[in-house]
Amino acid sequence: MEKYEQYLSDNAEDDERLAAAQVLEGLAGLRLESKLREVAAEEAAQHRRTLWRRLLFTLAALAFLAAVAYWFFSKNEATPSVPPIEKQAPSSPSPTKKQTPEQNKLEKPRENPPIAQIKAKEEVVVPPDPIFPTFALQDELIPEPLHAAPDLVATRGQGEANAALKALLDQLWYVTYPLQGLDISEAFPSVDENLKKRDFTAAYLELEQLSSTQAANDTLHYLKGYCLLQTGEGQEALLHFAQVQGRQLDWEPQLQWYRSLAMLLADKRSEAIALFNVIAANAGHPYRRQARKALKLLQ
Amino acid sequence: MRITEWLTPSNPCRQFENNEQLFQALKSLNNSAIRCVQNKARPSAKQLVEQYKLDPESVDELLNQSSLIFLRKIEDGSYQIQGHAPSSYLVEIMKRVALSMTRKRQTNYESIEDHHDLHDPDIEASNRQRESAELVRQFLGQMGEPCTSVIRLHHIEGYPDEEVVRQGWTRYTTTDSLKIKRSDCMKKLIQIARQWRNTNNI
Repeated sequence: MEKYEQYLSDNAEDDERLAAAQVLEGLAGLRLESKLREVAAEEAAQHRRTLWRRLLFTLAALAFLAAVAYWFFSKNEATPSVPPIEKQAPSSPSPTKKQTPEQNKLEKPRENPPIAQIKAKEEVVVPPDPIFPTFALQDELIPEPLHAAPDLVATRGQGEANAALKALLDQLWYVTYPLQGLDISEAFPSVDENLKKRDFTAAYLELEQLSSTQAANDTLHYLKGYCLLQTGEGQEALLHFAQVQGRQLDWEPQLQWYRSLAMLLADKRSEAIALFNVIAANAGHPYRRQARKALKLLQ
Repeated sequence: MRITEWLTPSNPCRQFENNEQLFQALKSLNNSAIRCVQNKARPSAKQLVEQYKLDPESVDELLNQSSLIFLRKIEDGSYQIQGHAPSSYLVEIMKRVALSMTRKRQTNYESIEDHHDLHDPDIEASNRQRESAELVRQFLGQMGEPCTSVIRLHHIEGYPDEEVVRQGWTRYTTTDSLKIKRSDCMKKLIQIARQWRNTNNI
């Protein structure tokens, strides 16, 4: 018993005892209120803790799922590029004998190579050229000529033979301008313009005028021969081409081809075939494919 | 520990094997025991709030006010366990408090005299205790330190003197000096209360 309790029981007056009772009642009430506040705080802390645990668990579960998904998808991406069958030792002497039917099924797709590979193989295994077996067919795949051969009616007259020659030349008229290894745009600009316009008569007349004022040279001969070839004058063209033959290395391949065409125009078929053979046999000749085409057409 | 247990709030009732143990814990104002009966009674509190059309936020108020009455009745010995669950008695108190709250709401519009015959002794005692508590709070404020702390630590927060001395929460270094000072402070508090009663003719 504390001193104040003893005082209350011994000496206190009635109103003092009543006041003490009210104080004790109030203190008891405060104690209960304090206790309930403490319990409420404890309960709230418990709920907060549970909430955090749930949040943590949810995040951990999501992280786990993300990791599983990452692993799953990364594995799926990696699998197709390395087929299981390729992991087997390639040096096995007789792998097919030990393989199960399932393994054979798996291996079947490998027997079918991609389309690109098939095409490449097909190009390689084409039948050999009957005339030049060493050349591949792909060398024969050349476009049709840009321009038709000159009209032969004016120079050679009508007739089946001329029509047949025209048809043949139309397929072989790989005659282009400017000429390889020869640039006349500065020396003879007017001639150059006319040739670009395919006005071969005007160009030839200008070249004739030039010949009268200056000494004949390889350029004038070659240009004249070219103009005559384009107008269907094979024999005349051959005369000019003969003047420059073997003199200019840069011109020589094209000159050889134009000479062969001029020979056809001049009805020198056997000579033309001989020259086509020379051109076709030269693997580095720029007109070798055209020559092989000519030889096939002339068979 | 199972993951489901870790993710759910711990059950405060788990440590009490029977109602007798729970009752004994309530007598000593054990926190887990109070949480146990409150958690059991909370669903009923929500039901009563809906049933009496009270403010939905008054669930906690209803639960706290009822718990105060319940704990006071345990403390003064007017409630004795008779085989029933303590939470059942708390629910019974809640019903009466909920009814009282409804009446209180009605008296906002009607005269108090119309309802003088509807008083509840337990609720009146609780209200009286609350008024006394409010007065003591005022008196303690008037007294100042160290009386406020000395009385609060022992009579309100319930710390043993040994703990108060050991923790150094007051300037008193022995339990005897603490008790002497507290007794003086209590006499002073009683005198303040006596003076207040005389002034107000109570």
